[in-house]
Amino acid sequence: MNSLKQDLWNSSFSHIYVEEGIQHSKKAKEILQRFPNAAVIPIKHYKDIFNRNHQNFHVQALQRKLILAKNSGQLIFQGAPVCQNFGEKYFYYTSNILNCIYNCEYCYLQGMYPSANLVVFLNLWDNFKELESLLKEHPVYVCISYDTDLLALENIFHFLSDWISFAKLHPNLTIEVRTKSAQTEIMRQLEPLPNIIYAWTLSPDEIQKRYEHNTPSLANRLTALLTALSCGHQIRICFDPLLNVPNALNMYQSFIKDVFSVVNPDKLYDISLGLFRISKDYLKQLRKAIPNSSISAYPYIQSNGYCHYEDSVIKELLIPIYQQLLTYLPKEKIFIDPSVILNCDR
Amino acid sequence: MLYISTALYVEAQPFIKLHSLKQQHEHTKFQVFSNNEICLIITGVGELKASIAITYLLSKVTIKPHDLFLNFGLCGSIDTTIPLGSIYAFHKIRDYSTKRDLYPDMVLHLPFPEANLETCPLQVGTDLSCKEITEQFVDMEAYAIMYAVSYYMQPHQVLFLKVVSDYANRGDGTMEKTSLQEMLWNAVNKIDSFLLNSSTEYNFFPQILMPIELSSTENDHMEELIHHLHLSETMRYVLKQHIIYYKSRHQNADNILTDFVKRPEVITCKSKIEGKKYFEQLKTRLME
Repeated sequence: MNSLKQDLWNSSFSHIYVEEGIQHSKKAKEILQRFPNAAVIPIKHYKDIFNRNHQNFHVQALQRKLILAKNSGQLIFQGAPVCQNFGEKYFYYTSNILNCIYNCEYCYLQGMYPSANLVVFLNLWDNFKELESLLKEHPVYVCISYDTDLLALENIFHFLSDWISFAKLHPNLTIEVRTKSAQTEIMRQLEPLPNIIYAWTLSPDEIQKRYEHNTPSLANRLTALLTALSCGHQIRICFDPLLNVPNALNMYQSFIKDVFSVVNPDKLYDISLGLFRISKDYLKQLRKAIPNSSISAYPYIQSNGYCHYEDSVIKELLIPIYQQLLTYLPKEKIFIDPSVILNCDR
Repeated sequence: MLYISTALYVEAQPFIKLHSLKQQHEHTKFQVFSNNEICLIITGVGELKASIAITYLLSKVTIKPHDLFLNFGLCGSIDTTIPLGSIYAFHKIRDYSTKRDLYPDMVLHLPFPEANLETCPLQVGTDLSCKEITEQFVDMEAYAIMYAVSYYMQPHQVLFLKVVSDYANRGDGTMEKTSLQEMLWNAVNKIDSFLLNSSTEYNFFPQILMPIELSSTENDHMEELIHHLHLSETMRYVLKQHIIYYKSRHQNADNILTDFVKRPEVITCKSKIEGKKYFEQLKTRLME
């Protein structure tokens, strides 16, 4: 035997760390019941395990542990400049789950968090309380699934159902749920609301197989998306991030053509389009987490604290794709970095 | 490589004999035994001795991402229903004095039950009351070992396996030396069959992603190009990143670098402006 085989590794959620203050809560008990064989380890604070030094993100991502905790800090944040705000003035994000079950090579979470373990904050009602005080001042647009994939985890945690109940009571609240999941059955069960947008990230098969590890295939995502559309849910498609890989333009053009051969563009809420970009600090961590990936190794251009592709990629990939999308939807429904639209109009 | 620490010689003995570990006499402060695959240190009893020994050993070696550190030894059980000789793995290590906890990442699927361990500065049952212990098992080194190892290795590279030898001076916990040795031998045999097997190359984490390094030829050619093309420090960084990116897709960048470094116009390049022209050409090639 030259090395231990993968089957000698623990499975995901083999260990569940639970903060001492919430271990007897109803929600914690419900979650623990789903994993009867897991080792349950009481902890004082989630950061005692999540923020340890020198953790190996990649090793942890191969068999994630679960941490159940209560979030006592700020819960609702203003959107970061790299996030598209879809023209929304009051653009916020929040996350009661840190990390995702998927393992996309380009994911900024690998640069953002010291650990790949999944932290689940059970006190969702505190997010609602903070949102309610914001809603007294102005309408709110909030992304609730940036740092995780809530829809993919709905079978286990059922947070989305709680968000839907909350959104129903607050018509001046708009919620975006970003996902790569293929939860067809759940989409049938969830009540469609005009103020909840499900934003599906779609990628060509080649990209999904090569870079989006553990994610559902394009075909499965499309099935879920079409089911959601037919049930009356608001659907956004995110062609974001586009990756500058060999033959990218042909690949993306043919992929978009395929998508709109089955999706009626008139039924979509809107579309988001963007090239891969990442903060320089996150890229530094990403290069440590997945040092042999062509995504992390790419010689990006750095400006204003962000790393992005060179301008020629905007011209040779993003603008042609934007122009192709204009043949399906009006420009008011396609969200993209405004500087690209200026370039395109010239 | 497998690194092992034990507090006492008696705990180390089965490993030493089983793997024909030889004492390394250049280490005069601690007893260190090793072969090509295993390196074992006997730390002595207590947290201070353990942390000094671990720091001493790990600062002298080059830790690789595939290495594993095992702390093995005896422990006491507060629960008198647990059979003596049971092997436990520990996923939470508490320091008795500070009540702080450390957590090794439990990556390997172990054939042993898991529990929490409390490291105490004094002998439980004799110098410390069992009532003051909050966890199920006690020892005298683990917390310090986890703390010291964390400076050199990642939390998934540490493993704590202990054999229950007593009930903290209660019940029928007193054991004869011979039965203690037999118990340790049994435990090491079980651990060995799981971890060590008949391996000649101890690679515990084959899934670890290794950074893309430049080969010595690639590195030499890169330095020659930097010299010939009069590249700045920033350009050196950019060139290296382009080479790494090329290697992430094509494994080997040597052909392109050799081709460029041998070009007469590159060798005779006289100015930074001219150098920049060839630098741009090289970058374009490396992006292909």
